[in-house]
Amino acid sequence: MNLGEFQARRKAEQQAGQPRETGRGEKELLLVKKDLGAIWSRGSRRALLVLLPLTLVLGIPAVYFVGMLLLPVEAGARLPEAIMELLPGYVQGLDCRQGWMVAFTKLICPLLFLCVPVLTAAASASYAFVAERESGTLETLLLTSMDMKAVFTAKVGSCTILSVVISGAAFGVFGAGAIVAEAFAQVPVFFDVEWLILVVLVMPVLSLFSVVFVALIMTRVHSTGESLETMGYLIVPLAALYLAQLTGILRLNGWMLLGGAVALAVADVVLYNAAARAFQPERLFPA
Amino acid sequence: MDAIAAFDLSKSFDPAQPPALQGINLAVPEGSAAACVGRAGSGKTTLVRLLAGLSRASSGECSVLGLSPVHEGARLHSMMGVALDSARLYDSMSLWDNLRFFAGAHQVSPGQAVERISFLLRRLNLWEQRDKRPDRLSTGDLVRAGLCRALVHRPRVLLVDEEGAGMDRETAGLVQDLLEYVLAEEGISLLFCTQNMNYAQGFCQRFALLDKGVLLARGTLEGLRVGGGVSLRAALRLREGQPGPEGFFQERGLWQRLIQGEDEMPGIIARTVGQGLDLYEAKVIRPGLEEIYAAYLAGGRRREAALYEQTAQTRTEIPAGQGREPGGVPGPAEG
Repeated sequence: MNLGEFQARRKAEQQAGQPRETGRGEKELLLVKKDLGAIWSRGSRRALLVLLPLTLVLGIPAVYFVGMLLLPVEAGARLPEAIMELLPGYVQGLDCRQGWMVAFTKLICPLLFLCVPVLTAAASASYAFVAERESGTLETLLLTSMDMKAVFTAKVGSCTILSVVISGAAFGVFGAGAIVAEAFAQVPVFFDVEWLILVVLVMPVLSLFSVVFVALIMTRVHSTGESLETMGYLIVPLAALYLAQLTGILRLNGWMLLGGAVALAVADVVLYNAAARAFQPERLFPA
Repeated sequence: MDAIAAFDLSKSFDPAQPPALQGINLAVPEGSAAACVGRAGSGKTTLVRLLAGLSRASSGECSVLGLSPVHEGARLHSMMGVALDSARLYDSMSLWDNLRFFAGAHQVSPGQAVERISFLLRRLNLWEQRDKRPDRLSTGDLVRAGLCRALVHRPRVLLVDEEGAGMDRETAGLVQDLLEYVLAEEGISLLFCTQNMNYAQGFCQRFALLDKGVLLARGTLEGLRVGGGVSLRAALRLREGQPGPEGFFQERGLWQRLIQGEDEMPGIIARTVGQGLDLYEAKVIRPGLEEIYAAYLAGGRRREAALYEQTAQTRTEIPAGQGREPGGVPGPAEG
């Protein structure tokens, strides 16, 4: 039998076999539920996904606020001019402590908040992709009647959902804390259009970006720990961008954030397709 | 129709190393049980992974139920179960929940899933362990749990890669019972890859002998025996202390001789009785798969010639009327 005959025979056998069609949505939902349950059910993972955001959006701001209250300030002291230029005009009428309060919520807190989707997305993706590959269950999953793309989509979906939900909750906690602190310090509420863009646009696309980034590099890392280290690669450019404001090089405004969100969304699409293509058994389980 | 077919299938992981599989041609008819046997590193797991769609062939083609494992993996997996040592269960869920999850992933309805899982767990003596997490199960339990998972959606084809570890006597017996049941009652097609050749011989009809990625031979046990030049043996049990008939050597308390076919037995019995020897038992010993495999490794008929030579030498060295124990003759598996 030559190759041509073999292929013809295979086609005939395929027609005779009449394999049944399988639906996708139901199975993807099952996998999303399983992944969310698996990530959330383990105490160490849950602690990481709860404590890390709380530290970022509540712990660090609280320490800053208390420190600022205890800071000895001379009468009539004001914020440095360079910082003042980065803040809204109403800061001119505020005293030094109030000015530092506004500077913190406008310049530093967005960075702290954006660390939450990056960290939670990268951590959950490490558990859903890398840890599952390490434990041998990803291979079992690929032996079910779910196709590769469906498994990949479900996993990306579950990690992104988890990250967005945790980030949303983190913003709620941060917002409540900030409003109390602002009332105490008698400064205007921090929330403005830039924060709106951060929460509604940047945060979700950043979550998705972090998830697909981990999914893309999963074939190159050897352990969950190594995968978690990639959070550093994601946070460093973000931190550099925000801290660059303090040097006066740039000032992130609403338009720039909007542009950043669009750029991230495009990167999401590109990375998603690249990661989905790389999600092949042979690359996931090399001999 | 062939449930499993491979045409000139080769797989190479590293160009600097010999290929893991080289030009394998294989066909497993639907509804039959075939075993792929070989030593460690012979390419059995690679073959299962290729057929399961977990790996791509370097050259050649393979199909299961007429579907390409790589390009039509999802459709194929809905009709195929794969039990691989490396495919594990979730430690975060109980065994029962694991099986429910995988049944759901195969779109088995909840009612049918409960029925099927209960059946499989009871049949494999895992019912009492159903609420335990996999990391609390013994190695043997895990092997059986893996088989439950592979059979949960009533596949038409089952691929099993048994690496030998963890197949204790209880597990081996329960697995064999279940496989015999699904073969007979559910019409499943089975490809069982193992090093444990005599175990596979218990429930498989066709065999493929692999060594270092090369298919040495394939066929039924009898076909392989003939092709490998492994002879049947006539075995006689005489009264203790009596000398054996001419041309016989003693092994495991029996006087044995290589024969070409069963039809030689009446003559042997008649001659033995005619010589005045007290014959208590006479039987034909069929070589086991392990012996046949060894013969293929040793080069087929050359081994038989060596055996004949050894037999003749023994006959001349030992005077008639005394017991003989030729050394170095591999013990046959009785079958």
